[in-house]
Amino acid sequence: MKSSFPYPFSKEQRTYSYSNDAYPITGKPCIEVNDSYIEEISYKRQLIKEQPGRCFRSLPHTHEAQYEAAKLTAEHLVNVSEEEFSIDVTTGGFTLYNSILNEQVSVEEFSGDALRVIGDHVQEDLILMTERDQDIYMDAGYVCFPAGWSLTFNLGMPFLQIHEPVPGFTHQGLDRRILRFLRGLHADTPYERLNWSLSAGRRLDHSLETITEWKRERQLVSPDNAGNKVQLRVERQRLFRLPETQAILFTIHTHHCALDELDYPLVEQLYKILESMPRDILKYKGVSEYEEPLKEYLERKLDYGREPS
Amino acid sequence: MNSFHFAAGHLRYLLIFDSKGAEPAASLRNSLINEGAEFKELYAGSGRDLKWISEEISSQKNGTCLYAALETGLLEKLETAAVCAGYLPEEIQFIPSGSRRRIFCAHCHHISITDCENPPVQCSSCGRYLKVSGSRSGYWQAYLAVDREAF
Ligand SMILES: [Zn+2]
Repeated sequence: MKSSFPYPFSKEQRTYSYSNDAYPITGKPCIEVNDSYIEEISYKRQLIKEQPGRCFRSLPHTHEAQYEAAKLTAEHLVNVSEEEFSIDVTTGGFTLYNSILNEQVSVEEFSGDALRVIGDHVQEDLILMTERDQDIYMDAGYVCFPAGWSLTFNLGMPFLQIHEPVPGFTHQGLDRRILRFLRGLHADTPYERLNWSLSAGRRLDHSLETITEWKRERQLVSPDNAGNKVQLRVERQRLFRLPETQAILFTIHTHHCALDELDYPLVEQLYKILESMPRDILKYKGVSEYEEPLKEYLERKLDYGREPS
Repeated sequence: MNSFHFAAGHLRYLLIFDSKGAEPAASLRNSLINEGAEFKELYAGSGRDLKWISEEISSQKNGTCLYAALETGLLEKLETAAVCAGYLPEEIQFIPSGSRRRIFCAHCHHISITDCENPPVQCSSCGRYLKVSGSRSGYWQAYLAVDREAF
């Protein structure tokens, strides 16, 4: 397992749980730059070029917040690596110098879709949420790697409604608690959570638009290839309240780790968590379709790894 | 058909329905009576057009919550009329009566008005056969529909 992979379970966890498991990350940036940077940026740019209407959407009232989000993101790129990124802030705009790509981009304060510009320089999917009528709405996004949802369909939709299809989301008022948490988010204290699922194949683009292309992979999972084919797919999700516009910047960095890369205690942990998962969640996460070969693979691996008694 | 979600805490409620919307209307009426809510109901039978409905909704006092179970085409126009009359998004709930729906194709983003009684429905732009979900966008005023091969 690569050291940069955000393993989503705590050491003690043995069962699946519904909860708001976000934790504060004061002082941390809204983005990461890792060794997949060039590869992922070029994939994002290819997708947005081919399918602009599904990868970028915005409502006109978000332009000011988009600029604030873009500037924050550019500043965080510099914080992450001063050797590779620098920024010149002028009145009414900024210029980002990206030495990895040997590019520079200028963003003006009232230029419109600034998220579209900065999104070309980060591996993350970027989403802007704004608050009105006591609810949080998804009003803009540069999203290439959604896990089974459509940015376009969800545009302008309230938070609670977006999550209606998620099994267990209303369990014991979880949905209301998360909405309250988001509304209470403060600019001084950003938060992070890790959202995990399993996927067949390492393809990052799991958009609803292309579901018939990537879903086929699930039928190809066997006990012999599961270790290489099935991936622990983890989204590092970060939430930042923007101090000026009060919009929320939500960044998602998607990571994969093949099951073969997990060592014995982690395989055992994953096996137990999967065993405890409710049927509707297994179905929602798309695991039911290859549950049998996956289970067989995990059981074999557990048999090999177990200490002789 | 979907049912209305009774949103407590509004000053009063206005319920408008046609013959095909009688079922969700009856269920909501029960909730309103049980909660002791102040409400008015209007039956939009034949001859009751958008103009009549728009005048009714405009004449209501502030703080009224609007529930309508009407034919899809009429709801689209009513949404605009309700917003112009000053209703807030959280004060409006619509359910299409009958089986005609505005559907949003997840694959090509085309919106078509289709009779959903005999699934699957076909996208009139990309030609895919789609399964219509219960997820509705107020922004697109349409239900999400996904290729039936995805299930
Ligand atoms: Zn279509």
